[in-house]
Amino acid sequence: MKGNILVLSEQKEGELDNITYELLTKGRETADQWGTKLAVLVLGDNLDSLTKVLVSSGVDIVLVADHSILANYNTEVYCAVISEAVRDFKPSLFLLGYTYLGMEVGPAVATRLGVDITSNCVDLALSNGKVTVTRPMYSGTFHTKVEVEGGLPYIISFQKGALPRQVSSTKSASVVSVPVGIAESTIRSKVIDLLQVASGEIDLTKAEIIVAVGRGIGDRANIQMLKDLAGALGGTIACSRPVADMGWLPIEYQVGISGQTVAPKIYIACGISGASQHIAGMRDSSTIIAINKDPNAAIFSTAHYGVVGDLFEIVPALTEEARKSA
Amino acid sequence: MKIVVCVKAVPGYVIEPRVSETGDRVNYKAGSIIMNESDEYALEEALALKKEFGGEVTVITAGSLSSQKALHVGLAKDADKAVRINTDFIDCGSLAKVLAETIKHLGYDLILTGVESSDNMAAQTGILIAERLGLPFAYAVTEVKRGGSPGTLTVTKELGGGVKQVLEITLPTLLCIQTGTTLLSYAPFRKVLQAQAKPVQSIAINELGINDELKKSPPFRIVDIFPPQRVSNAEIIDGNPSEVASVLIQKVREGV
Repeated sequence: MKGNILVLSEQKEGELDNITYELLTKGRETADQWGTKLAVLVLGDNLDSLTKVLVSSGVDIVLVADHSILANYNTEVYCAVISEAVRDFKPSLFLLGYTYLGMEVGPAVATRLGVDITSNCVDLALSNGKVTVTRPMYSGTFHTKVEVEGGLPYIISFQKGALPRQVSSTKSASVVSVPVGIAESTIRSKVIDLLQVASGEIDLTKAEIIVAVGRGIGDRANIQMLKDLAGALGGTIACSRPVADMGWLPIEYQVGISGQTVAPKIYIACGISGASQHIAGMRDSSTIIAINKDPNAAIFSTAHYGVVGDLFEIVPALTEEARKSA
Repeated sequence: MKIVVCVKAVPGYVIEPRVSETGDRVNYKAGSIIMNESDEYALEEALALKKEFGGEVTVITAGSLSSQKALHVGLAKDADKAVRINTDFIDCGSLAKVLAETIKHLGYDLILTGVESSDNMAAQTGILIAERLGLPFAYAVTEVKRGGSPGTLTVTKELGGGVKQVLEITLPTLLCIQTGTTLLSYAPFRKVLQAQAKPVQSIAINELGINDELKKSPPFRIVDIFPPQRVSNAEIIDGNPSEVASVLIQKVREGV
């Protein structure tokens, strides 16, 4: 089973997404242990500059599906092209992100290849000739170690930000063009629009101080307490997914994989447990302060400073102190 | 419109989870049994679409008798029919196969699922069903409307990073509904009690005629289950609220 490894690249506005580098790092490490080749598959339109970047990203082969039909993401088209590319390349391992793209494409490609997919992993290791992954269960309160079995390729998707990123740029890869053959008449879903969540009055990505509120706030009425703190600090308020889901703050305030990715100087997480989807949107903040009553909350793994306590006591004290020292 | 909603009964929280001897499952004590969160939104969306298009809503699950609780919630919220496939499969591939076969027998125009179950956290079953039935699908759907041309729906889905895509998708189709798409309704206790007296159609796996395709063991072996190892690098600030506040505000001023 020690065959070649294929990584699915993701990019946004012409730049490789971090998940690509994370997957390439794990892919390179595994290919070196097996003594096999690492390839990366990239899809899009006008891919010359991206291909150049990938050629020197520590891979052996770059598979390029460059076609105008791939300019905008259409699930049906992408599933068809990726399935064919994987079928032709015959990797033992196909690694992709547990991202919006990977969540749609992964199970579909697996079905078409007649294999299974192991999704939402945070680590991969080789032991006793087995591929072993670590993945969360039960809302992330537990992790399981799982030996992957079944037919090849093993298709495995990873959370963004879970794998270390360390890509050598010494190798020079060969480039292979992937055929893109899909009859447009067979496509049953047509993309008619792209919506950017209206940033309106706020642009979280430009904020220097963010006070973020999570499920721990308990009730919509308590949001004001956090707004007061944000106001006293000259910052802006933000939230995790559950708060936006409940309609307590508009969606443009949401930080995480589904919302905004931010990197302010100060990020104060109040009552946020630290689900991976949220962490991925704020981990690059310069100083992260977490206030949570659960000492085991995942957010403390990412925070620089932590307070284990009741946010209804801590936050008003912070606001008072901020006003005093303003 | 014939709408089928796939729902899953999940533990509210688990106590003492242990890997079974053969590594094919995790055994645990469930703190409570609830309907999976995104499935609740899928059900809500189905009931809203029924109001607009007419037709019927069937809630379906694959699980043991205790999973009927999720179906009763569906019936209490005015789903028309409830179907349970009696199985103890835990892998998405097998669950999707039995669900897809059952849905084929039931007939459908639209299939709705949630995006991810809170117990297995795999986000696969919906799309696996769509692929098995050869349907177009959309994941992380936040809005469903009547389409611009007959036999279509206009669907908005998340692409991440605050970007959404609007699609016109041909029926029949399968949509994985994201959380937070609408405000959840609550079934009054009286209706939940009444729902428990309503019939749930029970289907045995061998009625589906796909025994050959169902694997005896899942395509994985669970080796261990443990609380996530969290390396906290955070400097913990102790003290009463005003002491804590004084330290933290200083850190904020230093960091800006």
